[in-house]
Amino acid sequence: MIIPLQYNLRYLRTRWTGTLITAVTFGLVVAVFVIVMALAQGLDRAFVTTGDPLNLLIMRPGVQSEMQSSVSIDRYQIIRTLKGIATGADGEPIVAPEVLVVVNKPKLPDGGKSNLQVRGIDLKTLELRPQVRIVEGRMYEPGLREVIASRLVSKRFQGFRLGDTPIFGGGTWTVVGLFDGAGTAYDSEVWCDYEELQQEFDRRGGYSTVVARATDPAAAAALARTIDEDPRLKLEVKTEVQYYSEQTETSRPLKLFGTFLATVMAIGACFAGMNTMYGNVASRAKEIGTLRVLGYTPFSIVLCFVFESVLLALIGGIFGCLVSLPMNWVTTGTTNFQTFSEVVFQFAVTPRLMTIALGFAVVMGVVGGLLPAVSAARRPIIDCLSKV
Amino acid sequence: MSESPKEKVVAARNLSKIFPHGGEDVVALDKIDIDIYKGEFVALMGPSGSGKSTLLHIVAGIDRPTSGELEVLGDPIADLSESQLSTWRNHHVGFVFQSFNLIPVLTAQENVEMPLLLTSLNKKERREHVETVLRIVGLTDRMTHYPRQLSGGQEQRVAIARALVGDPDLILADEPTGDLDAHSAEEIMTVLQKLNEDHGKTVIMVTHDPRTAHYSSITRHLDKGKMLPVGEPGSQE
Amino acid sequence: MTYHTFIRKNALRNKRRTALTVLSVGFSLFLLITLQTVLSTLLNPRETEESALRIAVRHSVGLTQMLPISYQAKLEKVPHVKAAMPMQWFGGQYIEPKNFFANFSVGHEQFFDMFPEFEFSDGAEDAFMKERIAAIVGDALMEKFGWSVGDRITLLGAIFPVDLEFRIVGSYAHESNDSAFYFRHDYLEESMSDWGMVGTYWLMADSAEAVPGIIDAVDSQFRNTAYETKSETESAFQLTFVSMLGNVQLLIGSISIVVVFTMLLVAGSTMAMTIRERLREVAILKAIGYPRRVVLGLVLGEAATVSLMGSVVACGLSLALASTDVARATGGFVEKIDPGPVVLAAALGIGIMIGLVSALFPAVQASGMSINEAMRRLE
Repeated sequence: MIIPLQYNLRYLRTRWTGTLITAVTFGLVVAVFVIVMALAQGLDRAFVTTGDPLNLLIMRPGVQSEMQSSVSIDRYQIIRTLKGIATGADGEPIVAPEVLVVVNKPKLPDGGKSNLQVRGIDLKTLELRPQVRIVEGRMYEPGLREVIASRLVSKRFQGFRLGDTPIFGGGTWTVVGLFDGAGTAYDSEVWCDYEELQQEFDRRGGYSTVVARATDPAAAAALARTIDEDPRLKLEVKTEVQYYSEQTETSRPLKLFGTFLATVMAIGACFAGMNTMYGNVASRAKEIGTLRVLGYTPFSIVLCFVFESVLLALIGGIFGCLVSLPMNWVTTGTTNFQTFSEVVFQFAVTPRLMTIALGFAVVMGVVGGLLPAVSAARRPIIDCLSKV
Repeated sequence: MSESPKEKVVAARNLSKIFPHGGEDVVALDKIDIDIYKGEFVALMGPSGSGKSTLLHIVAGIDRPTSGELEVLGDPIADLSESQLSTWRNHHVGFVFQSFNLIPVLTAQENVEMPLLLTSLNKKERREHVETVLRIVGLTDRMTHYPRQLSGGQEQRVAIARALVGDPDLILADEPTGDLDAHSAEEIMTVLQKLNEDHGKTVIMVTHDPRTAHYSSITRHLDKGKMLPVGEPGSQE
Repeated sequence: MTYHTFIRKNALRNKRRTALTVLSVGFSLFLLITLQTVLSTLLNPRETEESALRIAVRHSVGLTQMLPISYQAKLEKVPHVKAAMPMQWFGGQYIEPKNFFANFSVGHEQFFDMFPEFEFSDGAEDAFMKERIAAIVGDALMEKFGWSVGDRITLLGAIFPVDLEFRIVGSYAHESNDSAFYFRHDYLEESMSDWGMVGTYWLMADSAEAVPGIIDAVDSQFRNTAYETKSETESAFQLTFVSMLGNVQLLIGSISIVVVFTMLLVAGSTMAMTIRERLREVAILKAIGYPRRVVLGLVLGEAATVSLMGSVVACGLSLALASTDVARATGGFVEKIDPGPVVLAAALGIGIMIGLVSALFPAVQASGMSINEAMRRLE
């Protein structure tokens, strides 16, 4: 026999101050958890969504990031001739060299300097990375000192608005377009013609990496093997997905921090929840006795109070999720210590994260409510009834 | 009244108390006049709602009159501020409740000591005072017991000791035997009588029990907020 | 009996509730102490006599850009510079990437003068001078991997395209920074076929007063050259790293505020519950002549006592954490969480404040209630 839900709801409403305080306590714990985890997830997402399983990133063996890699021009030429590479609209294989440099630029609003990644690309790169779209202005003109910057970069760094003329590597460049990287790592970058960048930074000898697009997953695997085994190349191949998921290592301390925070706060909140529930149980002793006389089993009493506690925690959890939702529109940055350049990303309060947070709230509710509920059910009926 | 002029302990003129209740005013005390003299043992009687407890509370400085003049022990207590009134109560009045109202976490001795913490007495002096009053109420053998280890009569005797420990001029008791069996009630009344006769304390007691009222020297009756003339018994009990 | 006895007895009246409140406040306060300790360790790198004399010189663009090895001679000639040492983050991996630890190449001739606070094992210095593949390893790291002097270790190059084999010739002890691996820069230089570059130079000034002058002299000497420098004190150099993490201060600061607020809520709701049950006593105390401020004091005293107990629990937890190996759990990100007496004292203070603030509202309400009202509320 189960005590109806109405009963719990009425009670929570009657003792609304206690309910509110406890729910807010649970809610704040959930909010802190969600926000820190959203930070970690946003960072992960910037990397994970960047990769395409058909894109092969070809680098010097043993390096941790594109930045440290170098590939000579003659090897690039060999790669172009390999089998399994998709063909572009112009009938040429989709293989693009990329040149990466880091420049140190003042940030908005305080002018503190941060490293910014500049990627020299070939126009073919756009076929490799269709998620990148120009949203304002136009594409750069090959052979000119023109750059396109991500919209997030133009908001976070000084001198990267449309029409600005940033100086790097000694030359003056013009921002002719802004792009949207759809939450990928490219949102932290500035792009320009690779040949211009090679000249500016005296990298004529080679590229940083070469990216090739395979026709299909099987061809991608075959192509990777071919490159690995080719004695002329001595290069290492990773799919972009593989490469970028290795970069998520950056968020590991954050996740650890978030878990630690949430755990310690949850322990504190569970004790507080227990207090509230013991209070609720004590003030309802007479009713518990009455319900028992009416024939409710001790188990249904336990269920009733655990349920009430879970309900309380869930209200808090929902409150916590709602409070943290606006964080979705906040942009922040950290440094990828493998490239020493800034990663710009948005907090990601995902439905999955909110589900985990609510589950977490339910656990807090059960832990906080179980002991008081058991104590309510175990008290002899006569004690309950005589208690004033 | 030609004997040596006795000291007035309570002097009330036109004393009224009106409680607002659900939009309507309930008159608890209706222009009451009463004089109580030092050394008297007054029983205030009347049916419930007659205003006897309200009068006692006002005299004790626990509640305030709506209008009228009131002097207790020569002080115009209706005009005192809340904190002056606290100190006044501590110095001049001992209050005994129907339901004892001991503090459950403290022993008998500690309960009695509570009012003395507010005074400048040192530990030793406080202890002597506590022992003296516990001797008066006959509970020296129960000093370290907690309220739940005492009988109702014993609890009330501790409460009386607490009321007495500050050596007040006036002891006020609100249905002191209301929660007790006949035998315990007798004990309590004997103690109050002893305080009045042997220690010269003025005692004002509210009761609805004629047997209890019997211990007093003067009995006054209230009905519907009015004081009945001396000697006239209450219409019904 | 005294007021204290009364407060203590009251605080322990509902033992379960008090215990739960103490634990709740304790855990939250423990978190606050931990957060603040981490934040202050990050933001205030410990300045010692030795570190105040050290200056880091790097390329003005950033740590990924290198400086020529030829700068060493020029830096040594700058007035008040006692020693100039090349130092390079090698970023080598031991067997697999998760065995992360700091490993640097250093100028072997200056190394021992540069870090006078390190206590080197016997014979370490001589061996390091003589043997090109020599390495000196911090005690904590030696222990972590079970290495001993004489062992041969290979680090796989991640940033550099070379794998280097070393022989451990000695160890060093230091109270906080004893998990790094140092080897000779000339060995790296040679393995990279006379590379000719290095990431940073570390300078040792002859006095703390000379430091600002050296920084100016070095940076202006190389201004408008192909390799401009950026020089800063050791603590400023460390802060650069922290600022690269992002807005740590804002994150930890706002979380701390939420934690304090949670504690206030928890303590406040418990005190409200307690005081509601205590109304009868408030009435009794007032009836026997207790003035409002004493009643208020007793209630607040009880709240402060409970939260102080919570603070003690928090300090206990913090001290327990201080004695655990935090460095391993965080992958070397945080070396140690040791709050120190000042933070602990502050935590005790905050604990008491939380008790007082949380109880203030219900206590004022209860103590201001008239005796009749308080008695009626009980029914």
